[in-house]
Amino acid sequence: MDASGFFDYPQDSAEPAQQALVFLPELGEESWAILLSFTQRRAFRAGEELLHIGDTGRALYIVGRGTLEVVLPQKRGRLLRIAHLSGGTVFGEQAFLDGQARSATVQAVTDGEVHILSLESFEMLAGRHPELARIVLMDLGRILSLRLRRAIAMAAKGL
Amino acid sequence: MSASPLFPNYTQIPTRIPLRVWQALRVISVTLTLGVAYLLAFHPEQGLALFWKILVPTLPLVFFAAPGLWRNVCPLSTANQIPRVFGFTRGLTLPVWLKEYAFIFGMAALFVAVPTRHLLFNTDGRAVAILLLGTLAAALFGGLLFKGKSGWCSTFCPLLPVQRLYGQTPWVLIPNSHCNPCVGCAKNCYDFNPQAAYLADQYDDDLHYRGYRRFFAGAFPGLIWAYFTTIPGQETALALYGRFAFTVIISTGLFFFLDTFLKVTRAKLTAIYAMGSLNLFYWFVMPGLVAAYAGLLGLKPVEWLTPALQGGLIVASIGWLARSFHHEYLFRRAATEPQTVGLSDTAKRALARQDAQGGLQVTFQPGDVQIIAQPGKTLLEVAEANNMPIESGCRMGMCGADPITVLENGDHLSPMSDEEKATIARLGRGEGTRMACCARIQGHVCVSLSADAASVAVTVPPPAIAVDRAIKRVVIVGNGIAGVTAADYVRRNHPDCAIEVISREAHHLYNRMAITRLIYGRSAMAGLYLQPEKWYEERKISVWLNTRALTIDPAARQIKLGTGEYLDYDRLILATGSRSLIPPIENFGLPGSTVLREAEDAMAIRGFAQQHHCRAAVIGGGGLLGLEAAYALHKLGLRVAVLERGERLLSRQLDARAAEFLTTYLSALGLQIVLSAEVQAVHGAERIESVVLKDGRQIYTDLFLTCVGINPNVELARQAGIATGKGVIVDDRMATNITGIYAAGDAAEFQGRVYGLWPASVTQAEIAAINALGGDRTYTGTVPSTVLKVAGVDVASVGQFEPEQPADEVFVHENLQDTRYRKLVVRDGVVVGGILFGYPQDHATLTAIAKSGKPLGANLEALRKGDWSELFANSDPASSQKTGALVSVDTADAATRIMLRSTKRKN
Repeated sequence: MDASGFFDYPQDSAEPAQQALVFLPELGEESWAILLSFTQRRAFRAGEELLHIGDTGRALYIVGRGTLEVVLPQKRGRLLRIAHLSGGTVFGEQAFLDGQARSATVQAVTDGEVHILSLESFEMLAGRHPELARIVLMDLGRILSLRLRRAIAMAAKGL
Repeated sequence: MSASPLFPNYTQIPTRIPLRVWQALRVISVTLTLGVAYLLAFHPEQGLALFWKILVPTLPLVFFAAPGLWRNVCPLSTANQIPRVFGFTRGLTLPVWLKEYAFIFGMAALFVAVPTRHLLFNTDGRAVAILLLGTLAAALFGGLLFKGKSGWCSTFCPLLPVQRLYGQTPWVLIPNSHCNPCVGCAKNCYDFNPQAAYLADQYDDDLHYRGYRRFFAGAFPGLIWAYFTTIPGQETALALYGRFAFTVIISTGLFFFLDTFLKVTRAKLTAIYAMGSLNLFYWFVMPGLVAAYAGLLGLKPVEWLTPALQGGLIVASIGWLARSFHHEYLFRRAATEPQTVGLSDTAKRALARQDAQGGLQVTFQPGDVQIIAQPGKTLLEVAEANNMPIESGCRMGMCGADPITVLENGDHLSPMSDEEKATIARLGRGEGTRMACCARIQGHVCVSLSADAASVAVTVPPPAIAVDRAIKRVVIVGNGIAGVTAADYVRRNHPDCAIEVISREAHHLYNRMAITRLIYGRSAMAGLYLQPEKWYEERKISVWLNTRALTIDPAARQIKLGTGEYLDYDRLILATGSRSLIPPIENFGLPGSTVLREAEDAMAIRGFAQQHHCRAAVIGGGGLLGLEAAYALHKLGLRVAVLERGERLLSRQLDARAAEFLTTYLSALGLQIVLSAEVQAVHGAERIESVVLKDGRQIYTDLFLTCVGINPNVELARQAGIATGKGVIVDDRMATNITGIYAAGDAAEFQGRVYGLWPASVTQAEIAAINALGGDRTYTGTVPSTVLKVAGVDVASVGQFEPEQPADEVFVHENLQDTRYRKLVVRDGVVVGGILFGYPQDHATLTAIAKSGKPLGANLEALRKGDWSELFANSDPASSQKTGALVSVDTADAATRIMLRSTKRKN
């Protein structure tokens, strides 16, 4: 397991951050523009809830601006933050693919904007730009595969 | 609501105690320790009593309740931090091997010190004083050499294992006040993150690191048991140490035995052992502790105090365990949170570029959802794209499926057309209501989708016609849009006649254009009704639902119902609608082969598909309904094939080129399009198994829908002697050949044509109603205007889309890169129709131009030069034809054909 999030000692930040996964690293700007044209833009205000734990809804979120946090609701309305999502990150990719309930709540820390690719929009993308849709799917597959490898490595090491 | 971090680190834990206070407490703590050492050395009796009877037995409770308090005031940590505070520490990094074994050193020191109490420390004050001072010196020395707290507090300290064990789930969180700043000296540092540290140890990937700490948890109860079961002086030192070792091994053995056989997560057993140790300890020391404190305070303790305190500790321990277990769950949840996915710089540039392009903010209430959309989009498009709860119908403002209340900035929406105003009037809604499909955004707006936000109804002034007061009873057969519109206009013009509406269907007026949603959606009829429940009641219109009109007696002006009742009428309006045309297909009617016309059909298809686990469907007919049904079944998860008899899809709406674009898109979506295919027969034993085409091909399927057109319901009229052809024949006043009887909608045939279109039904019904009451309106036909309602493709067709006369001009503009296509047919300088593929924002304009019949004027010249921008001023600038490079004049066609293609950009 990765407990490093709880021990982000200050001098560690100078070192290169943990190798982050990048969505569609090779995609050109024009293709990105096409992809974004199939997303819905939504503005959010600080404190606004974008996803609620247990919701179903197959959509991929691309954070354009602003910061969001992943929280777990607790008893008596308390919310525990387990991760931060800043501008230039992607979330919701798992529910986008498997359609299962959201595993946490996502709410806004600051004002900002997200681009939402719903499954329906993705279908349209696939209808209009099948090659781009294929690239998107392959890349989501690649990301999940890398995560799976990491999970397997963690399991193998931690058992 | 704001969230708090899970397991905050010491910089995130709020505190109200200033550093000065801690510093003062540390000075006091060290002074007291020196005092105790003095007492131990020179007044051993008092010193030993104070040290062993009060101080040591109190510490575990502090570790349990507020470990951070001890971490901040511990005299050893104070000594350890002196070199850092005064700037003479060497600040070395602890060598790797020491990092590994420091914990074992501390643990071993404790395991030796505890039995040695019986041999030495319990009785020898000086030895304890030396131990105390020696430990202080060791802590100081550690601080002198090593950075942060790695020289003692987080490594060698023999009390550290106990603190971490008991303090893993602190009741009171007190942040570390020593480390400023943190130098990151220790792994899973307790002072950095007191709630996560022990859990991180338990889940550390290093088997040995984890193992030492688990071993301590397992061994500790044995140590406590061995200590308190010792009778001093009964055994030799060797036997004593041996027995301690043996007990510790038993305890550890039991721990690993349980670890193996108890199916619990990793940190549960250590937490249980921790509480076992704590309670075991106080089982033995509580009586003495109570007595010592009582003695100190000069009080006599009550008898029940000791068991009460022990009981209280058990209760607190159970609460502590529950919290610890929950913390472990949270820790695992957070530690297994997948890595976040970032974006490349290219993606960020694309995002920034889109950001810079701006967009208009549309706020939806309730919920205050703010969408940023492109100018020119309709509120319906915006709402649908964002999964807002909205229904859609004709997408032309005529059906009334999508009323929306504008809360702010109504002037930032495109102006209302007459059709939209008429629809809002029919719905009985007033100021502030818009049909979402017609309202294009031109600035920031705030709208509400909830029905109760509906504004106050405004009464529409009735058109001034001379109503024939002799008319007392109007009967309307049909409760579709034609029937309801007719009833509405009769009531508006004649406030007191009786209006009877006879409805064969069991539903009030519903959104027939959206029935394919009943196939894939789960909300059934909810939201599909177009009028509020009270609509009929408020207008004193009586409706006979699920009732058949059997016969008309024109002479007696009477209509017989299937119930046996008779209704007299002064005027009769036939709005009997139409049913699906069923082509001659052998065996049609076999379960699974059906039509789609009414809500009940759609719901039955959904039911059938579920009941028989349908996987494949075949649609006969590539018209609007056929394609919409195909898309609905595709969304339901079926593999769908569309069979079209002709050479192209939507042959009544599209030319070959536009149909080609559409076929490409639908195929890419996953629909199979088969052209020149016509069904001969359906086969199957109990229900459909396959369809056989006229050319002999066979397609296996679980469902077959035929969607090849409509067949007006004329039987009632024909039986009454009313002239019928395909439909009930009407003149331009919507009157039939029998006085007092009118017809409108799908049932009516005007100039040899049955429109079968919603807008035509609305116009005809209005005219029929007004003329029935004595007015004089004429109908001149309707310019057909249709849109295909399949997501992701915007296809619209208006009027005549193919040239019919030699002088007709055709203008075509193709944008291959974005797969857009548009076409205009112009006759004598007037637009008579056209096709739009990928230009949703121009549909209303095209319909208006074609309907108006006005000459294009200067725009015609512009069009001939290939400039469409003036005509469609609303058009999306991105699709501007300015990029067009190729202009070809195709004279092979009878009509002049101006072709304009956008060059494909290479990127």
